[in-house]
Amino acid sequence: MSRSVTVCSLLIAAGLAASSVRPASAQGVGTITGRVTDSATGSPLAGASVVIVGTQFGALTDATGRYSIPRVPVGTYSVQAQLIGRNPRTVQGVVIRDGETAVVDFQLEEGAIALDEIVAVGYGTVRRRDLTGSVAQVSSERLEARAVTRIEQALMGQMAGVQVRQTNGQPGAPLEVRVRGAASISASNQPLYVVDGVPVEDLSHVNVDDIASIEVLKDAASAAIYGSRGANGVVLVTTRNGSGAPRFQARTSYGFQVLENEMDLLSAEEWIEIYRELQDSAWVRRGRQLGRDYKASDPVSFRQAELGTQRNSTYIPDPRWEFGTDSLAFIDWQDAFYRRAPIATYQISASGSTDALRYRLSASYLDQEGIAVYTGYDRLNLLANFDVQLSPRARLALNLAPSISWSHGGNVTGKDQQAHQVLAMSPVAERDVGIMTGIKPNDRYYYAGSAVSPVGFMRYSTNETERKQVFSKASLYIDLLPGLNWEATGAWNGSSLANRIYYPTRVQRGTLNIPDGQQSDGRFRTTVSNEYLLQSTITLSRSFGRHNINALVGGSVEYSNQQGSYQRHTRFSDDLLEYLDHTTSTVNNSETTALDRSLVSYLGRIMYSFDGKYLASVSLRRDGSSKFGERNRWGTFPSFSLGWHLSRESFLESLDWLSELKLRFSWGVTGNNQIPDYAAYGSIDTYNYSFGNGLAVGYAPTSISNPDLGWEQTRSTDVGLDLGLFSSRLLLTVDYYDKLTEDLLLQVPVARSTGFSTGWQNIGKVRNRGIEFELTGRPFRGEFQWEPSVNLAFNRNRVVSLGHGDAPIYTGFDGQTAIIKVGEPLLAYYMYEAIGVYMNAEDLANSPRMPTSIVGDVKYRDVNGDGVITADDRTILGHRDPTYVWGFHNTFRYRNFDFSFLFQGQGGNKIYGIIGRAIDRPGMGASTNKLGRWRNRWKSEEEPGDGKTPRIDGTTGSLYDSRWLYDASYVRLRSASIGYTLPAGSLPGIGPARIYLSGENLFLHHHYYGGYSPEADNDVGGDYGGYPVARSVSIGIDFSF
Amino acid sequence: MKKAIPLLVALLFSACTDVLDREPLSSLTVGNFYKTEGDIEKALNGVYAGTRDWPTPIYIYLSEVRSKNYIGVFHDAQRDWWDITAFEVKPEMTTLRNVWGSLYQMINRANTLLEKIDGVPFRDEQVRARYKAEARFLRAYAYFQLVRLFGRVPLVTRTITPDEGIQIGQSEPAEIYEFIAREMSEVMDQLPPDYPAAQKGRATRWAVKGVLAQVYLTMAGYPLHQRDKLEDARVLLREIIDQEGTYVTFAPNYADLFTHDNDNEYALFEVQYVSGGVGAGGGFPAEIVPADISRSIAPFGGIVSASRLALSQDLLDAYEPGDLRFDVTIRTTYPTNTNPPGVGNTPFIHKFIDEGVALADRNDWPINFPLLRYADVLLMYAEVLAEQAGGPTPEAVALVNRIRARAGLPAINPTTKEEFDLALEHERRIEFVGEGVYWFDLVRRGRAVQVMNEWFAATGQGIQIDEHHLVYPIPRSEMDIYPGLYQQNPGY
Repeated sequence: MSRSVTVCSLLIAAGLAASSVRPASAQGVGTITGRVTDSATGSPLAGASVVIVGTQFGALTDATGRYSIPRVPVGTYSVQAQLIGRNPRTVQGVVIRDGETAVVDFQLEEGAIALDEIVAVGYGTVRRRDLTGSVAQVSSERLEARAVTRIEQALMGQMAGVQVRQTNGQPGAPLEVRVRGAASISASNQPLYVVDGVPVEDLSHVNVDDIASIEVLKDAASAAIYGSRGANGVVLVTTRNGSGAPRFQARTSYGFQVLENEMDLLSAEEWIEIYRELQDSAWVRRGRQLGRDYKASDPVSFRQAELGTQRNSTYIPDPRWEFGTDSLAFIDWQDAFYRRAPIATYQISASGSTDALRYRLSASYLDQEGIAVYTGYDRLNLLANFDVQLSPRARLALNLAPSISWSHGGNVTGKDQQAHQVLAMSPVAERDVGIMTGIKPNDRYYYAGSAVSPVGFMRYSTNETERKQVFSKASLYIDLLPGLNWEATGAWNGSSLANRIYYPTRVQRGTLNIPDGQQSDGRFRTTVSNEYLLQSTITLSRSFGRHNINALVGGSVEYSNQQGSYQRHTRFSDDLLEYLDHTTSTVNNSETTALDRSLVSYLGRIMYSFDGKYLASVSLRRDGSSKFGERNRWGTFPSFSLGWHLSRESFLESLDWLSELKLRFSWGVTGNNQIPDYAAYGSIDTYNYSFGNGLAVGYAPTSISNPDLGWEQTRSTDVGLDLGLFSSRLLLTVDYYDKLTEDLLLQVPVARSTGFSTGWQNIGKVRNRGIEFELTGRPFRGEFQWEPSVNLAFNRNRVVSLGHGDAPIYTGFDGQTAIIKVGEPLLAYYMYEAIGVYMNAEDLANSPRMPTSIVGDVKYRDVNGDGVITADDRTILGHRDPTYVWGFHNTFRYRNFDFSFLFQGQGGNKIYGIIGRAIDRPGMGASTNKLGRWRNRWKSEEEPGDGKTPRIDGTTGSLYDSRWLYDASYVRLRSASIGYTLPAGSLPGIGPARIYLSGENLFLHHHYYGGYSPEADNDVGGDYGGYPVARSVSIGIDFSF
Repeated sequence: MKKAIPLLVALLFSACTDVLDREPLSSLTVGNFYKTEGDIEKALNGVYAGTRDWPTPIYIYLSEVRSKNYIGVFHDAQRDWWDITAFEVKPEMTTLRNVWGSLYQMINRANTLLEKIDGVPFRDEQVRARYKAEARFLRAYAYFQLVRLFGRVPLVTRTITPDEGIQIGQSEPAEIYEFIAREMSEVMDQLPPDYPAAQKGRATRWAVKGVLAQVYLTMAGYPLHQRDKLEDARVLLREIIDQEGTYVTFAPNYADLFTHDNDNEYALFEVQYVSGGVGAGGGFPAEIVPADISRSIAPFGGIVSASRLALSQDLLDAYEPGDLRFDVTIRTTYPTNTNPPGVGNTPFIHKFIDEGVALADRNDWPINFPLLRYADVLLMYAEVLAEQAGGPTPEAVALVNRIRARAGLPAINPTTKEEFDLALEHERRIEFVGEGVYWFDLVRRGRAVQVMNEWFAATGQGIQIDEHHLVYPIPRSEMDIYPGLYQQNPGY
């Protein structure tokens, strides 16, 4: 970390501390003890937390429900007891006298839906009752029942307005999270992740089992405290800590995964038929070129004689095609490449607390094979949380979470990678070679494309990645005065990545006669990253009569850097070793790189409530980011919010059935700075040349500098309603929001006459509006319990204005599939609309067409009605982001059985199947395979097919049209599980144990023919063949002792 | 105490503003580069590097493949070459956008250099003048590519911002040609006649004069038809021919022209390549080689799928019996990369293949690509003489026969202008197969529509072209940048 950053951080920390530390006056201390029991049965409650409101003092109950809080300074306090699933209780006016013990007992009743749950809101917590913003929460209970491997998976379908998409099924790959739609195009739309108060880049290092709760700050008033990074929402993850008597817990699960959805491809027979057709037409065309009368019906022997050769893939069919699998291997590559793959998880933890220490230690291991052959992912997560009461006034919290993961077998996702090859690979191979076709010593099948077997590629190539991360954080809490606390936090999050790739000569195309090593390709990449945070806050929490005030001021400095190195060697002497040695191979690349960035912040917030009825909150944050141009580095992000508990007003208090009615209003400004480091600079890159046959180093600009590049800002308003009915058996939350994002960070296409193709600019405004519903109920609470919950969110976005006189911006895949246009959704698909096929010459003559159109081509809609098809006939056809997203979760419990399931889905949007297009456009010819619909292609005027699929050698292959645009709405049974709990004591020495069977992605209803999953929006503008999503079933057991 | 707080706050802000100054660590920026004479030289090398993008898309695909030297035989895989050879090109074609982008990128590099160079101290002002002249020549040369491929293009002669980019519309070809001719004629005599061995490959004054003569000859034909430029071309060509034996050399054998050992030996200007896996090799030799060729000939095979794009029968038939150039240029059969090796029979251009050369990858071929050969100078001179005289002059015929003699062919003696023109057209076609000359010749001489349509009819390809096919469409990406900024070329 550079010196200036250190100095600056220290100044902030010291400044804030200095302005607040005051000598503590000498005074006496007393003790509070008591017991926490169930209100109905009187049985003790272990693990309940008892705290003295407004201080750091607190304790947890032991197995007998007892607690003790020693060394409490003399004074009068409110003491609160809380436990998950119970309504908290507060006893006011507890008087502590010097040297005496005050006894405070609590009876907690089983909660319906806890309105008094503690909710993290960023730099603090509030009771859900006192929330004025829009914050969604998932508690650990919801996470526990399932066998999920990543946090994001657990968030799917759980919260209104929080959309999680699995765009890539690669084991270990992060999922895409969107809060209330997307506002940015070029800047990332990923929310800010904050783990135990520390912003982090991703959530890989957190194990799901270690999570106590996840909160998502959705509206600007909640997120504005995170200022420049709040515009996409904030996901706050809080990890667990121990409570009560020492407790050991162990969990394990084991299951299988299979391909969720198989694509429809041509069979070998159908592929051969197309090949023959193309050969016949090439043969006739050759005859014309040479002035000879060749016919499509000319037999093999005649063609061989004419060409003077036995084999020719252009003109001569394979005689063995007649005999099918007697002489050739017909391969279903999806069957060959995807497999049933095991997945196992193991976890142990120990937790507990004493008077001065709370702790939780856990270790977990994930061992996952991928459904694609030779892929897999292993991860080890460790966690150590300690909370030490140093003195009555000081507490120290330490979090340490080292993790390491290993993944092997990349090369599946993306253009020309193996998931793509699986679809494109010709389904015919030599019989004695089969699925190892094209892999040395096997030749490729003569009529196939040049690609080698994807199974062989995975088998013989190496692509291993090891990631290490050490998340560490220390916080010191000091009670300066009753109700006035100082917190100082330092965090370091170090990570490293090492990626080793080796593609031996045998997996390269056409290397049959090449010696081993000669065309091998070895690469090694390492990156080492550090994120540092220094943060200091002072919180004042005071009550004056019916006034409650909670105020916060603070500051933070974050600094991140990254160093990387990359080596690539080719021309190895052999393939005996997969490591790089410059004496036995040629160095192609050898480079080191470095990046850094910094963020300086000041923040403040005041939350106020009167009589528990009227709530208000105001916050302000000022952020400076190194990512922006020197003229626009600082941004200010204010917010305010109001809440009104109508149900506490006397005129409603008499309504028994109404347990809660609260209105909320909030307004705030948030920002987005998720663009690459140094985007504001015009950078210079190497463009070497040579003179006199010697290398001449050359440099040239590669990006446009933009010293004005600044924040993308979102102003948003949120109106919300919380309604609780029938003793909170039914809770409804409704939110309406309106977000206006200005100065969008856009990497816009620029006229190439500038010498560049794109540039970063702040352009335009986008508005997102939406409404969210969350309905949760607990209609049955007895022996049979049912907890249904439904969430539904609608979002609609529109481009309000753009720079340059609102000229539209063409974007999407290849810049040709989408448009950003005023009045339209942010990413609106824009392309030719395919309406059929020119069935015959008459149809062609009488229909609008392009100058190059031929019979059998795709017919486009003449949008402007001018009688010809031109680029002006491209039109807007739907949008990328869903109009609505929903989830429906249910848990049933009967005695010791539990059953839960989650349906989830989206609708109103479309997906562009680029992978579908890659293997599905006219002109793709014969050597590769195609989507099954080509069996209904236009063959001739007599055999025109289904009227939608064109001729195989049509002319529209370079265009983007709606043939690859699919409805992306779907319904998924995302998860289901059934469990049985063995009561404590059923097994000697073992506490309660739960055995369960759970499944993920068990059912999918969708309309996406051109790809695997309608969520797989994994590339610019659409789906370019991600690792497909798996369906999985696991059995597991949890027990404690 | 009360006074200390504002002070502390001020201190905080000043300290923390420094923290936010993070310049790129491992890459240079436009702000901190261009400081020394050495920086400028490297920036100039960066301009030259732009020409590395020329051979494959411009000279092979948009020119050779466009002409009747090539024919698409099998519509297998959606590739741009099919649309080019079948005259189905649409503005969406990726090659167009790439060529347009790479030429303007090169122009921007030159513009940036020309704006920065005067602020940099030079020990020798002549070096400064030479660097400027090289940059201006390369910029003008890039415009020559643009104008003959696309017709009306924006003329950008300084660095511009994105906002300015959408304000500068197209210029007429006449204006662009005038700019090219003015720039080249202004800088040509500021360049040295030769360079030391380690600097070979930089633009000499003869390179500029030769290219300028080519520009003048183009201006004299389609689309400008400025006949007075013939004389301008003649003067320059004569001047170059007068250097034969000193600064320019006529290769004794046709085969000598196409080996890596003879890089910068016989041509006036070449795109420079070296192999060795340092990213400075060429990709064009493999581009026109069948994919299934034996790896002993091309270590990484070819790009074009085996037998999908072939040399036309028309080209093979055009060679006269005994033409020594045939065996240097073309292979009609080749050993395939199978076990045991078979025989492939897709005719392809072999002359850029140095068999057995060791490569790091497919784009690592060491041979230079000729942009202007001395034979071209001689044949252009012959053309000018005949055009000016209205018929073949003995000197013009002798020049053609000199090229024929090297090819082992007997002398010809055309008597009419028509006979001479056809003979010259034929000679240029055969001499420069694979060098991207033929299509541009047909276009500038107003022959493309007729020659291509006759061939299409004779071979029953069902294609008919007209004048609009003589230029390519403005790329879709550029048409979409700002509505109304550019006009599309007619017919697209």
